[in-house]
Amino acid sequence: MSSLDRRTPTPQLALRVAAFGIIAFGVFAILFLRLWFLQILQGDQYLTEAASNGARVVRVAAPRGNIVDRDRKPLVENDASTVVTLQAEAIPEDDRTTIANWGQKQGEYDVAVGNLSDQLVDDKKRNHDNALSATAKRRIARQTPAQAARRLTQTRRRVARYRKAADRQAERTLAGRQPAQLRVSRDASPRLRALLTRMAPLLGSSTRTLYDRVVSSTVKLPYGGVALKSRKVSAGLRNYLLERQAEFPGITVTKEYLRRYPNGSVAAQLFGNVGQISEDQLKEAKYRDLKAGQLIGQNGLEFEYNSFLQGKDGEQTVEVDAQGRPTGKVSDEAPKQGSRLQLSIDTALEKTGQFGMSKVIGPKSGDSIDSKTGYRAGGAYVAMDPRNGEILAMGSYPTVDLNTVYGPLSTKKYRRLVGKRAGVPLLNRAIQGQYATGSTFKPVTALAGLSTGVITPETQGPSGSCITVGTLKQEFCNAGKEDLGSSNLEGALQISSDVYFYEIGQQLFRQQNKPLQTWARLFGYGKDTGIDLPGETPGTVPDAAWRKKQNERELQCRKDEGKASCGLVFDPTGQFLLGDNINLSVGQGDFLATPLQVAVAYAGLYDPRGRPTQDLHFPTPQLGMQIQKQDGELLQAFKPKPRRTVQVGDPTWKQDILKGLNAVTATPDGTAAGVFAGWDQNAFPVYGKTGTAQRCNESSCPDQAWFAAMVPDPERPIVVVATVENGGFGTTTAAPVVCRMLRTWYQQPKSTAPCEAARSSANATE
Amino acid sequence: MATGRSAGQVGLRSPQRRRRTLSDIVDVGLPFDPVLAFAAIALTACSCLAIAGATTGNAFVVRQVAYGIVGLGVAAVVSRIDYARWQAIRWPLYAFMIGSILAVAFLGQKVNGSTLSINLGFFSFQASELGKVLVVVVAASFIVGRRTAVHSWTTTFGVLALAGVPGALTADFGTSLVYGAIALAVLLIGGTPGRHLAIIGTIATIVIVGALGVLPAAGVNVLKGYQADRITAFLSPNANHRVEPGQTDPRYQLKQAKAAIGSGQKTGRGDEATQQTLGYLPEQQTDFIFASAGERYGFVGAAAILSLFALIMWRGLRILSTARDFYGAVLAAGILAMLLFQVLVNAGMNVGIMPITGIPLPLVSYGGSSVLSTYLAIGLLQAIYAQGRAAARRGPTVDRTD
Repeated sequence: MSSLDRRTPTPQLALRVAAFGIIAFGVFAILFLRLWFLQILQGDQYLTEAASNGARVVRVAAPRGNIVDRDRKPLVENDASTVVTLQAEAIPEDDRTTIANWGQKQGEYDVAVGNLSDQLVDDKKRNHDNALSATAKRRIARQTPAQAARRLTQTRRRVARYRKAADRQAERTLAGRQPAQLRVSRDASPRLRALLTRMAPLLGSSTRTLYDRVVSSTVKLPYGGVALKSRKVSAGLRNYLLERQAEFPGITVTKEYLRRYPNGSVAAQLFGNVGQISEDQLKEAKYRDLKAGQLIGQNGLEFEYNSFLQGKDGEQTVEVDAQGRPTGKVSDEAPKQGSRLQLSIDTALEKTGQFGMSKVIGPKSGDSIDSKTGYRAGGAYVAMDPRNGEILAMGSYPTVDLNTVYGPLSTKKYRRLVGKRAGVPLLNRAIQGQYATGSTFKPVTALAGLSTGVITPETQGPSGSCITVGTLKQEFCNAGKEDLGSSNLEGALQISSDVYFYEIGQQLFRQQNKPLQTWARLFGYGKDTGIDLPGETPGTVPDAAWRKKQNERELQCRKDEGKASCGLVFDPTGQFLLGDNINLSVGQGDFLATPLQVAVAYAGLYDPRGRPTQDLHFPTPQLGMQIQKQDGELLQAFKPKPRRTVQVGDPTWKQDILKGLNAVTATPDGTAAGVFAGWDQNAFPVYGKTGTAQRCNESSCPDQAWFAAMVPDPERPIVVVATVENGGFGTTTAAPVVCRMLRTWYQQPKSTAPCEAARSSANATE
Repeated sequence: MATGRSAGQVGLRSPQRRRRTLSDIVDVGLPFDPVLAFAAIALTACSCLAIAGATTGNAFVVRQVAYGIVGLGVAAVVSRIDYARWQAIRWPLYAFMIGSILAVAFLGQKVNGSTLSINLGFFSFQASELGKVLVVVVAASFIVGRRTAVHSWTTTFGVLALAGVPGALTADFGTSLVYGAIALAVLLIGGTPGRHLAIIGTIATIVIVGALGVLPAAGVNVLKGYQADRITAFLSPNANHRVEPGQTDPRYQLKQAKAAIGSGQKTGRGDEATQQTLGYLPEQQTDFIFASAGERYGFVGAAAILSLFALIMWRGLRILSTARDFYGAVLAAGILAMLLFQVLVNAGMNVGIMPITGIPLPLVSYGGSSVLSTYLAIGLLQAIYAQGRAAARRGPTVDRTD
């Protein structure tokens, strides 16, 4: 058997055995080195990897802080609800791409339809300005008010029909460019479709509905989660899904908080909405600690005070095995509710302002459609404490129930609720509406005239209904070409004589340092007031430099967009002329300001009663007063900013202007005397000014109504400003709103202060 | 020793045959290598510790202990038998091996898509595991039997065919590679010309590169997509690869194995070893037992296991060079190659430097067939040691170099 025995290996065999040994040694050397590398050198990294492997971190939303008014009555609260969410990571990349492409095409289509529709309306000359022929207008002028109103309503309806028809026609014309609706059976990836098909019966909706939700949510927020069901999620469903997380990958059931607004539509423009943090916001330094999917204030106060209201989301770390099944080991970090924000808002005053607005341009007022635009008519009001700038009320009209618009809503319905035709109810006209302010500007012109010596308080203005200026013999007339006679400054303010201020404007134009513009800026026009709200607009104080810049912009815009005119200025070679300055003197022309700016300007005239001062003091408006714990304990108080003082050359000037303003409401000749008839002027003297600003060149649309009032009450001084875009004369629509607000603020009985609009008053011309 | 002498007589070709008794075959008095025995038993102990950590309940541990005890018994018996006897029955052994592999292929149960074992009731028999040892025996016998013709291609092809046939019949790619490694070691120590070895090496390289790289690029897929992916995954562990439905992502397994081993650091995570207890580590008691031990016992544990294998290799090479005869040397080389290759591929796969295959870590991975076959191999090594020592004591009586 062992015939091949051998004891001493040949040299060749020894060599091969040695080679074998070297290979074996090499193998072990490599394995040892690799082991050393993994465990000793990179061990920490792998330990982190392994530790995070088994941990699923579930974010537990923290309720945001409440917002309360100055009496700590709730304005914004929270509603807890259970939400079934499809996490963004669970949406396959294929679907994401499909939806993004579709969203882009759909967006392009929407823009194209809008443009074509506008063009069709213009082509047919059927927008409202042109809907009434000149003859029709003359006929209306002869008709009784009732007939005229009926006629106007008919016209409005016709215009609305034209618009709808134009929309339809545009949609038909561009039908070929509309991307086909995404369908779950055709466009969804098999994985997503399978998941949605399994979820549909559980959530009580169809696969199609769920897919539509995925599409609309992903178009809006590409990397946010999709709320598949946010209402009426039963405890049974919640538990079912939580127990079977492994079977429903990417589905989470969380408690979310939705904002609730106890007062619905009151002060709806202030708060702003709360929404998922966007991709761009995630990159911002102030949102550094936040993760995708968390909610932040997107605008308004929710945005401004987000860091206080935000709270801190909790984290629930659940240990799960490789199949995603929870092992039962849980660590919890409780969510912390955000702090409470106390505003200076007085809810009663706020409601009065809104009620006053609805009286004049509400749905039942008969003036609810602005005949210039054909859309819902708008207006705004502001009430402020002149001592410290605390905003007591601020609102914009029309308004909308926030519980509806910030709730789960289809895009279409949302657009209908907050769109142009609904009057853009979420636009805060008080700080974002830029308007010509009409005669409310006159105190500025008066002070400019006084301080330059162009007039003295006793200067008698020109008589007659018009003044003629310049080589072109341009005529500037009182409203309605009425001859108000010659009067001094006080009288000119009282009866709102335009020619008096035209004259000042004309003379100030010749002065080198543009005193009118200077004083307008000193009153705070042309720049932000500094209120604690985002999106404030600064308005315009027109002068030569502004006109030059505007011309350049117009030319640039024409070049860029290839249009014949961008509408910024009519004639890009024009200059700021005498006529422009005269227009500015009565708050017309290119001058633009927000209602809040007007309020700040009038707050500057405030003196504590009985202690008149020479100078003007302009407060910085402020809504937020305090940050508190939920039980009301003070965490941080926002002190009012020191008032900006503007020195006035002579102690009598301000007092003379104030006398004139008081005469507006307190004397029978005053422009707002009718509205304030019966008002207790001794207890609460009202320093007011009406304003009527032209919006159209012809008198084809109603003017914008303004009223600004200041009451220097020793305990509760207030400045109230109201404007109604299609309100006509200041005294007919804006003054009653202000009057009602003052009545509420000083708790005056209705009997002594009816605040009725004096439509037929002979004095109410301007 | 008297018994030694009588054993020696058994090995000699004696013209007059007498009736064999059991004591002729099994010689209890032979010496054994205590270091080798210690290494094997220590590895079984390590295996039991590792499996106890990686699995819940004690079903796996108990069975592994049982396999270890039976395996030790097998090794003890085999080590007392003169290995030359196996040379005589090489063809029946080979026939049994092919038959068992075929039986498994046709009658066996499917696990993870491939048929590797046949259920014997008490034990799930994996023919290809036993086949590894049998191939060593048969191939060594063959090449030693053709010593005079070792330079001819016929001998080389014969060895390759002997290993290649069961390798091809086995459904598992990794096991086939083990057969290949055995054939190479038998050729190397068996005296095949270097030229043959060089040509075989070149052809093997061309085939591997061709099957994995060139042909798929040219549009011909030799392996199924997931098969090729499993082999090449370790080269690009972070690549984002589409996984066909029903297949596990090899990169996921690699990642989890590396995370398990790495997180063990110096001394291990002990009971905090979540990679295995929570099931992130796949096959944590079989293919990935090394990663499992590495996570629980850290570098200390993993290095201990590798050291024990190194000890076996060292003793094995010593046994090889002190073997009584050439057959013993080639046999030892085949066994060592089998062990070394399995350690390299399995441990290498666990630390992410080798392809993912179903090759177990000898003695440590859970599994009866593997444990028993490895103990059979250890027993053979002990037998070679015993015969070598016995012959050395007898002195150079039959020193023939052929």
